[in-house]
Amino acid sequence: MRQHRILLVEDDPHQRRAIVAALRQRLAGAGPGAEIVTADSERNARLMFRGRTLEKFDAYVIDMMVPWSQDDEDDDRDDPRVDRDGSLYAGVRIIEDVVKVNGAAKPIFAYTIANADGVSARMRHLPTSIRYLRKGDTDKELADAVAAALLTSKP
Amino acid sequence: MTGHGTAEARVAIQEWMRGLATHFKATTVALYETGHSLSFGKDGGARRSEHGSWTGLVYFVDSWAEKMASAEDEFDGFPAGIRASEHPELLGLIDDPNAPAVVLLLSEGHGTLAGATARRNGAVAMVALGVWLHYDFPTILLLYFTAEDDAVAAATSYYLTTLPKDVQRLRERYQGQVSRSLFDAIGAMHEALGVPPASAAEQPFDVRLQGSLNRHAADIGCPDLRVYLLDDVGHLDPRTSALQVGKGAEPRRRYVLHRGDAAGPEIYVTGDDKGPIGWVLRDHGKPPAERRGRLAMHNRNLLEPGWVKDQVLYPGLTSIDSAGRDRADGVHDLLGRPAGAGGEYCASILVHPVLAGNELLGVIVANGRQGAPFVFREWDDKGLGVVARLLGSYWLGEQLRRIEDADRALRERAHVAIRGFAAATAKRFGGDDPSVSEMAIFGDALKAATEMVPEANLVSIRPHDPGSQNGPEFYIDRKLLAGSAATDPRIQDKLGTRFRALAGTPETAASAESAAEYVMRLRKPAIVDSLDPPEWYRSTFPGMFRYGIYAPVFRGGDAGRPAAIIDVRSAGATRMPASTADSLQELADMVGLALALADTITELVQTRHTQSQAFEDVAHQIMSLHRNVMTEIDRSLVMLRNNDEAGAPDKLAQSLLVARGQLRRASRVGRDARMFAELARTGKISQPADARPIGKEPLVEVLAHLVDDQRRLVTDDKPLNFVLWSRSIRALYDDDIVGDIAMFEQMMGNLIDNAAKYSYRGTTITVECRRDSGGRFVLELANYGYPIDDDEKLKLGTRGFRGAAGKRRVAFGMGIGLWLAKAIAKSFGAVFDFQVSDSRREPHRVYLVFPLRK
Repeated sequence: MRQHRILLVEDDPHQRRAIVAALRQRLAGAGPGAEIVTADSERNARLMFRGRTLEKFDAYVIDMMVPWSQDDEDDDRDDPRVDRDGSLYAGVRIIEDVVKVNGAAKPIFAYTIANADGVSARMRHLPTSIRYLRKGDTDKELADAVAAALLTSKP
Repeated sequence: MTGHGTAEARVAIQEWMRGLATHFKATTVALYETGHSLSFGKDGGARRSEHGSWTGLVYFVDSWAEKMASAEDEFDGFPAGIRASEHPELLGLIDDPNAPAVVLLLSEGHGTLAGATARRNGAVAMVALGVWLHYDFPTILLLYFTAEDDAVAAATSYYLTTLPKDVQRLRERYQGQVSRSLFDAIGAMHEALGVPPASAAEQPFDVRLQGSLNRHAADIGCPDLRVYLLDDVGHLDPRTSALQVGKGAEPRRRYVLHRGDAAGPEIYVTGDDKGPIGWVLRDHGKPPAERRGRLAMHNRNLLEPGWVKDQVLYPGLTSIDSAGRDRADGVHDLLGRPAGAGGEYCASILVHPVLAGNELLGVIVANGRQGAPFVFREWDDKGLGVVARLLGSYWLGEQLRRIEDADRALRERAHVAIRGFAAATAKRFGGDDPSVSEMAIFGDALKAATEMVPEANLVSIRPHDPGSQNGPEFYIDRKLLAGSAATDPRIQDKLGTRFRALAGTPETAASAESAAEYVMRLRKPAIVDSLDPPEWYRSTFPGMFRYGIYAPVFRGGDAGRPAAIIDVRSAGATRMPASTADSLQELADMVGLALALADTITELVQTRHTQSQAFEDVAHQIMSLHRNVMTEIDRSLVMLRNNDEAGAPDKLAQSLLVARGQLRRASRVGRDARMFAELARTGKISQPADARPIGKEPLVEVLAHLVDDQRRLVTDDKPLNFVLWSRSIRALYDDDIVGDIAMFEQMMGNLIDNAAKYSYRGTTITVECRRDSGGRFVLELANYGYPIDDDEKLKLGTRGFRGAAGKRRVAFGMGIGLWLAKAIAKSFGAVFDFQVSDSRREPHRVYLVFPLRK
């Protein structure tokens, strides 16, 4: 049984570190463990897709408000939402790409500090199976939800 | 000017100018040719003038610019003592018997539509507007874009650089949010403005306008020059990006006036249910082949709907030039000729939407023959009126653009107010009651608007310097007093006395400087109106009740700092033929009023809008920081539990320091929110009444804490260096800064946070304390940050602004940090200035210069 592979998109390094630790800890006790691939911007997430096939990820945890690019990376995303809405749609865009390539067969978590209404309004055009998960004070809920989803999702 | 072809274009323009002079029976037509550095720069500006005295305007602006540059005061306060009356060269313009009939402002751009060009063009546009509004001279703004050796490549207007982006953004964002009533209001206004002499009065406005243009079409070198006024062309569905046509069962008027003949090209932009473009738009989703086939069935020229969508509805102005260029296929299709045929009919096509918000009121289509770009030899007042309408519509749209998510009821009231304004305007031009003075009607319009939007608090009226050389001047100083209207008895008084001036109140001591200060804050031109002229003025200048315009002029180099303010005031008589002058003046008045009204309403609405957005963002930031603190504390607890872990005490201390840094930031974000509220409510941030000098030691300690906190928050993802320079720290005095230390920390915290947030990784952020040559204490912060382009420089430090490069790279932020820091600096009496860079090799710098100690 292979390790679960999870794509985590989170720009805040403190939070990213904590989430990775929480996921590793939680999934270590539930089967084969997990390999967690991280990205800190929409562009980096996109590069993940380019180099690897999306199908290889078993779950996606995507912070909804991440920058489109980092630091001196090229601004190469030609999307009117970039300039218009700032980071509001960067996470949505990542999910759009995921869904476009392999549908919503694997669990996708829209992980955010924003409230559910705001997020769902931006994702009306996406499958309803995408799960909303509000950022809490700790990452236990997130790790539990991901673990549960992985255990019940189709191989 | 560069390039061989430009010389030809210049000849063509001179030809045109001669035509204008003849048309207006004028002896001179002035050409102001601007340089590359700025439209009216000291060396490049007014490089060539065919009429000497009018260079006065240029130098007037320049002289102000110079004073601005040397002004030591904070720029929010307009340097005292600069008044038009001190500039005889400006006053001389008014009475100059040789003043030109038409002023042409010509500015050259380059092949690339760089930000600098757009900014410069914006400045030229302001001058054009100012001249036009206040001297009654029709002013044509013509901008060249030369692509090296190809002068025919493009000759178009200011909008080419700025409007497409704005329009696209506007249309995408605000579709469906500007109500039909606005469209009606604007329509009514336009209709009113087009009222011709009695004999033609029965004709619909669009027929008259089209007729006017057609009469001159041949003369101006454009075989077809048409205005298509649209009735509800449709809108873009923001979710599906599909074009929706029409909005209801209301019968649509047919506005396509001139169908052309077999030889002439046509662009159909809309029509009735059977008209071609309405049909095309409806079929937008169909495959191109099918569209083309159905078009052919209708015996129309081939015209790709995609072309209409891309080139007409979205980017705004489009200039298409002759064969061999990118759009050649579109042109040929458009002309019904096979691609590659080239030839004399394939020269340039100019398509320009007339917009009000997201409503497309009309499209001006001009199709020129091959040759000099767009050679207008002559145009009449209606033609100029089109320019006026473009400006007016654009401004209204631009102002209303920001209303987006505003409170619905307020938005509706704003529209009601505009409707009231339009109704009153129509009444005035319709002449229903000629016995009523136009002032009263204007007053009614404003009053109606104000009553309908009570928060708008439009006016305080100030008679200014009556009887001066410059003639009587009365100013409405439109201060936004949002929130205080209901309780402010002075406002109530004014509303009750129909905008009469309140003699004897402190406000009657108004000055040009206060108006100037106002536009500096607005960062855009404002109309300062004269509503209550004395009887002798009315009888001397019947029908002439003007508006002073104050227009800040920005130029490169001084980010966020206007280089000058154009102050043009109403005075003197018109030199234009009466009908043209009247027509222009009326147009100008209407545009001015529309602008003023829309402006005030928008500011009002935006205050609420931005406030709610900002608070949401603040909440997000605090939650995010809080979460990080909790994470660090969790880590600490784990380490405490596993106290056998190697190095645990160090890691624990580190973790707790990070948590402390995060908590401090969270607390600053909270204070930001509080200060934001104060600033939004009162317009300023105040120091406590018992503010005392901040001692040298606490001052340095605060800075050191802030820098240390930032150092700890830096991660491997984005390493940054921080340097606190205190080269002259020994020379600091305990009373260098007088005020509240917490506010000082807030200001510096925001600046340092901002620098860290928007700096490139691996760079150094420097905070320096020093004393300048005049002995003033200076705090300077330098960072190598994401680039800020020319357009953005102007907006830096204004509420809600975030640069495009920063917005891409940093998820959170509402653009209030710098704005608050600026306001806090002001409360310390400090001058806040910045110098930004568009290259990562040069740092951005923020300067805080504190007043001399007593």
